[in-house]
Amino acid sequence: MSNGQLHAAGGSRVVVAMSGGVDSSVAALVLKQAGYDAVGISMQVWDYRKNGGCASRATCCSPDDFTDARRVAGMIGIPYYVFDFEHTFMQRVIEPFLRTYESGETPNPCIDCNSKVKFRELRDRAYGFGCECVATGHYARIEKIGDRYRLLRGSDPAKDQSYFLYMLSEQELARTMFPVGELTKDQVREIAREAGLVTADKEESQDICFVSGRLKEFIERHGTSPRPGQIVSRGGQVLGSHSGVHEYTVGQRRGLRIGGSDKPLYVVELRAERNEVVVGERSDLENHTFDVRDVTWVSPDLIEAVSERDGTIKALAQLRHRHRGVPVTISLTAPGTVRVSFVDEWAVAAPGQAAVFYDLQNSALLGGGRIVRRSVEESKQVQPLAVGFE
Amino acid sequence: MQLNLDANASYGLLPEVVEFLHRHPAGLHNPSAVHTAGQNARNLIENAREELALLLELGEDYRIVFTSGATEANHTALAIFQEIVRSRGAAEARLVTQSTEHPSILEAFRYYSRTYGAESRVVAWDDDSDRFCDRILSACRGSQAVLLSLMAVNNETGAVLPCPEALSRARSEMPSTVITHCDAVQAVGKMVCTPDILAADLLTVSGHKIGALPGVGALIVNRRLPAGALLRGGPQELRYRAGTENVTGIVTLGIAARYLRENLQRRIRSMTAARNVIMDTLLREIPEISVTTPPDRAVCNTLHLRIAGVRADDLVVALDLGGLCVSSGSACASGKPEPSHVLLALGFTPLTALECVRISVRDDLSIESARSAALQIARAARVLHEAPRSVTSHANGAARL
Repeated sequence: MSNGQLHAAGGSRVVVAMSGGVDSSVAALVLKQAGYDAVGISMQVWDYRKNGGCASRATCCSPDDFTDARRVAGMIGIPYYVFDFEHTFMQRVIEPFLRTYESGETPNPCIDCNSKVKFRELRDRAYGFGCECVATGHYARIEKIGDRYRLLRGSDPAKDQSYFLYMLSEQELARTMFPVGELTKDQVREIAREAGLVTADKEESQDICFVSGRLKEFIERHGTSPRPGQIVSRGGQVLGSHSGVHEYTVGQRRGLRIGGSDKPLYVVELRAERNEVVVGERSDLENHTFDVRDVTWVSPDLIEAVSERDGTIKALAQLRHRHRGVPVTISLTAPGTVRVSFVDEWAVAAPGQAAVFYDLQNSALLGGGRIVRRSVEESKQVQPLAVGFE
Repeated sequence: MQLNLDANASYGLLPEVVEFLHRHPAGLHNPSAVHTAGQNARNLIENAREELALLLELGEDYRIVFTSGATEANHTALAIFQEIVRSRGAAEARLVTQSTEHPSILEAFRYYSRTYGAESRVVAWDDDSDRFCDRILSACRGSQAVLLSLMAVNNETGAVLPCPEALSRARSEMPSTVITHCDAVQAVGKMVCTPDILAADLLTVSGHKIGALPGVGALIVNRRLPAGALLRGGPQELRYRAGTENVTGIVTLGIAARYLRENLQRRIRSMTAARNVIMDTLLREIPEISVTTPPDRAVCNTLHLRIAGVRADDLVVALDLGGLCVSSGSACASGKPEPSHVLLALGFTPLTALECVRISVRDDLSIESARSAALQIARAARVLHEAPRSVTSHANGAARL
């Protein structure tokens, strides 16, 4: 079977990030079979003994997982090493993660881990060993057209992970490979079984690898102490109490523990500075537009190619992992900031989460950024901007 | 094929050992069995014992207890000491050692002192060997029963410790209270090393550090000491260690002992020469290098150095990919490099400790191979020194959770 994902120069030395799971195991196997000089690396990012968190089988990067990764590397016949990234991970993933929650937003640590640890620090260190290219077991594809590179959704729609990779630039894509991107999960497991890899039937990893059990407990253990406060209506009426804004996400309905309303109540805003959780009806979540900051694009000319004559971009916006994506119009408001307008249906835009833009075929990733926090009132008032790209 | 420049971690099997293993593919029988197959195994063990006795120039005063390795030998030394304390009816006991010792001593001492109430004293390392000896001696004074344990050669830095002075002074000043133990794992076969010279009542030997199989070692015990055992349940090894002997391992230890005895001066010369070529070449190629233990104070096969600005773990990986085994000296089976306690004891910072590598050679490393290996190390270090780096994630910013 030909694999269009293996675009690096044949026989070159490639680092493959191995978590001890089946996807990266098969990624390593595919590279080795294709004749690359693959070097397996596991990243030690979290001290499970010291900090708690999952030492269970259902996660990655625990000592057990390193044992699995090492055994797989041995079976495949590639060198394997464990690198320490604890300090970097703490600085660039855990601390921003905690700060984001404290500010009333919902963070996405996997995106920071990819862009600031895996595809930066790991690539830099691997460069010292003659590795130009980093490969991972992500379900996403890189399309090479001439000397241009595009990031596409993975072939398995149920497993696509391109959302978490939106920060990769075209230059980075040129030095990245996703060897399982064209495969389905079932195919990956089948390959692993046929090769007799010990990870073939291993469970899926959880969403946030360093948190086991309840997220709330993790944040309380590692962040500032929880500050109890009030749950209020949009009009300011006190409806109940909460034990910390970090326990809530905009759009959340369950677990509010307040009654007395005919209609179901949703979290519509988190006012961290006043330590208030604002609830309202579903219609209060409805918005026409939202703003996105820290926006990055895969490449400038890709954006140029998909821009309308007025400078706006018509795209599909995916607003959280597993969100199917809705049509939007994107306008540049300031460098690195865009305003996104829904076209015919709206979706919950939780502050702090990534908004990731795809082309209208829902295939090529254009770019993305972080959803800006805004009060309910602001989002009701703001109209789409007519400002376009220059 | 990897070139082993990490011989202090494991020497690799001697050709003589490999040949023996080929001759006995089916293994050997239980040496306690009455039949001929058992007796043959018994004889092989006794031959090995004799070879080791010859290497260590053991007179009638010493016996050899085969163990599963040096860690067990060190623990057996503690078990014997416990027996001494018990049989003397000593009201209190003290364990004395120094800060760069192997964890199998340091942690065992901590454990014994916690569990049995013995006082444990760890003397801080001192480059001045007279002062170091004085401190060690004063740590021994004033107790009814003392186990003084010193390594002959430090496994990481290669430093030769003043064992003969410290142990003999302790013995002559406090003959009725001090028992001396020497962990000679990294000294055997690299220098003249006998319990008499080292003034050791107890002496630890490891098999795989000298070309025998892993999983075998020995404790040399002065006969005037009572028997103490970790493992009970059989008469083997004069009741110092119950359990069927690791016959194959013991035989290979005997083979290695014989080889070392017959080749000691030659191998000291050749390892010294190869080590010095590596050192001189590296010093010429990379000005940033600093050598931890000057060659006249280090055992003949070991070179420990720091290359400022190069993370040792990266260098180990780069060299491994290039076919060379060296060691960063950090225990990182879990992937998290902890700065070595030895280097911290010597005054390295956590950051500089992670820039240290150990090169330890075998006696069959040719001068030519040594030179080309050194050039390869220098090249890899230069590449790593110049490699792009977003941020250094060294231990200077240890996790703050």
